[in-house]
Amino acid sequence: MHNLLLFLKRYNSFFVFLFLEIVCAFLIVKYNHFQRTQFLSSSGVLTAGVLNAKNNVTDYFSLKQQNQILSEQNALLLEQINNNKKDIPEQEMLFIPEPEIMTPKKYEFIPAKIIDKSTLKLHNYLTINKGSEDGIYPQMGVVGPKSIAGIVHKVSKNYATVMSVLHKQTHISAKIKKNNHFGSLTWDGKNEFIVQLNDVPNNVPVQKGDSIITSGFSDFFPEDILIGKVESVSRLPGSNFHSIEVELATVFRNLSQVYIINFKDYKEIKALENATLNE
Amino acid sequence: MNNNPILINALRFLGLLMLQVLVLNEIELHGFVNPYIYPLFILLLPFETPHWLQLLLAFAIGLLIDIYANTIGFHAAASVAMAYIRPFLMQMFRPSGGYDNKEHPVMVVMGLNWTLFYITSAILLHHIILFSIEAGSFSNITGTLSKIGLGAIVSVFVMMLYQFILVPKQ
Repeated sequence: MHNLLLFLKRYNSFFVFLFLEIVCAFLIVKYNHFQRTQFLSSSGVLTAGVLNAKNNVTDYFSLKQQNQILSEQNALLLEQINNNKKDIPEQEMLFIPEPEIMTPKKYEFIPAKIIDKSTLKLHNYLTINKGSEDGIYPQMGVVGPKSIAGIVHKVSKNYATVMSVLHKQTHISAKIKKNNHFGSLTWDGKNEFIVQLNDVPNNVPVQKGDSIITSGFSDFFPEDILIGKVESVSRLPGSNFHSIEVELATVFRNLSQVYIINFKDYKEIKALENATLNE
Repeated sequence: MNNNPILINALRFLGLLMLQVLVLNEIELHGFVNPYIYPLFILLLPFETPHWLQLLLAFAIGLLIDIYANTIGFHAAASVAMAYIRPFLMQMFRPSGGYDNKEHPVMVVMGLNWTLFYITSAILLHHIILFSIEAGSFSNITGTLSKIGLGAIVSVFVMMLYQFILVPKQ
């Protein structure tokens, strides 16, 4: 204590100096707008830099969660688009119906993540992390962010396998967007980017680049979901049908996030069809 | 005239403050060089003044100048720093005979050369601190440096003039 007092006494002027300069600094920052903004902005630069550096690191930890959120949001948007599309007549409406009436929920999109997949076999399947607990049942349509991906094949409690479009037994009802002619989509197992559209008669004009979309005739997919674009058109000798190669919009190799389409009326329709067949 | 140092310095305090505020603050050579004379009050304090008192007086006169010029803290910070280095400057420019028998570091006592060195180095420090704070950044460093240089020349000139005219021979 004695030494401390001696020390303070020895350097008293330095401490007075220090004290007064600190007071000055305080006054300068408190009372002068320009200096204050400079001070705050440079410390702003500091904080921003630190926060940015921190974010760069922590972002990776929440990436999974963020992905999840985004895909759920996307599901909601897709749901809205597909529920609204067919319910609003193109002509003016005589009255504006209640939102409930206007958008009966026909389709629900359930987000899921692909945890395993194959693309190089003849019978390719995707495995997704949603199962019967999430309301998944066989024969539901599965779409990727860009276009269709497949149809749910087998379902366990928490997982499901999806029969990819790249499957020898795939049959999906499709149509040419510009003239609404229908065909059946299959895959010949040769190229993972190309599928075939069959049963389009010769007299239907088809050109390279035409969009191919779902027809809405199948129970799996709503109408007007993109499948791909016509890659080439040729005519087999002695055949009445075009041989159309379609380049898929979905690149299965990069696919990681999909949405399962819950067609609300599916069970009712199936029950009706089964009853008809059993007559 | 009474030779009481307290009275002399009190009068000088007021006189230089008023001179600075009322006259010199109105002078702006080339639009940006403003001569400062109030630091002379600290520079002319008697040798025996306690250091802490010099600092407090520097703070007081600086803050008063600030209040008039609406630059709270600038001049206070600069003059406190100048007051802090005053003893070190005196040590540096110590004449061969020391400061024996001398009371005031005025020109009539110390001579022209000593006064010029002493005042110039102190004012340079004062102006460097003052204009650096005023600039607030290093974005216009040449402008700041010219303000420091030209301002110091003009300020030193004014202070020497003051000593020639107003400091009485003892």
